[in-house]
Amino acid sequence: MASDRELIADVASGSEDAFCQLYDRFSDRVYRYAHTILRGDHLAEEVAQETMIAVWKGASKFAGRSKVSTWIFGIARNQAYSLIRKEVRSERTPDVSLVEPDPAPGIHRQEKVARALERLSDDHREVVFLTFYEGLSYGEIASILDIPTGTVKSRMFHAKKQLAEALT
Amino acid sequence: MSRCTEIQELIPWYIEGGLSREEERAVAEHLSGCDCCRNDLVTTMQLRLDVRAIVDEAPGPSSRLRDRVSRKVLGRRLARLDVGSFYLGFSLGASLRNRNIPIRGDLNVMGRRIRLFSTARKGGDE
Repeated sequence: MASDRELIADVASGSEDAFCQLYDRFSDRVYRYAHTILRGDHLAEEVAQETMIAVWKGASKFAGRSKVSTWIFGIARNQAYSLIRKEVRSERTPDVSLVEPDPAPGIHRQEKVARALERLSDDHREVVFLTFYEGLSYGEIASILDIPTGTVKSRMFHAKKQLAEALT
Repeated sequence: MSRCTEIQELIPWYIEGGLSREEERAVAEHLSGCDCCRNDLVTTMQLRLDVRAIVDEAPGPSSRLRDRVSRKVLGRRLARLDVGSFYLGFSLGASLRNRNIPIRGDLNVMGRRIRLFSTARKGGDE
């Protein structure tokens, strides 16, 4: 199976076949990442769409200094935040979640974590997703979010604490 | 910052295997003598499983996304027939451009797509 780097190189030279393979590897992951930031199906799809189009158009600009996934998630993040700015300008509020009522006693553990995840700030939830779901290193996350590594670690520390508190 | 806080900040990446050798060794050494951080390790491992399950259970993008991207990028609609399940299946895809109709077949194993054949020219019009 071709590596992500091989696929990007092929996409850069115009291979539609390589793009289809890259799409299959990343579109769902990009969608779920965008959903973490935007919390709206429609907006997350728009971000996934624009990200994959940007990958097709910008593959030749991939310099190879980072992992392909880091590069693609960086594009997705830029797309998500530019969509948020657009939505705010047009006075259409992004589909951010409302604060959920306190969970009923005896609620399933995973539901408690899901509700606690919703209550995290966007910055914290994003780091949790990239660490626990994507398995990225704190250096890679710092590069995607364009923040110091110390901030990534501290956000994760506090997010983890809030999630754990929801279970007590 | 206390030593425990420093270690607990690294624990998520200790679990993920994303630390340098020195960091990994330091965390392992500290864990061997600290109940509090061992408890944090167990809690973090469980939270990681919870988060992964929550994200996995959420619905993915609609099937229209693929069509929209392929129309914008490749200039036309890709038709695709999927047979089987997530665990094992077969996909047959066809696209249309000018008078050329390339066809590709993929084997899907555990959500991964393995190319069986493609009549498209690499780098050319599919």
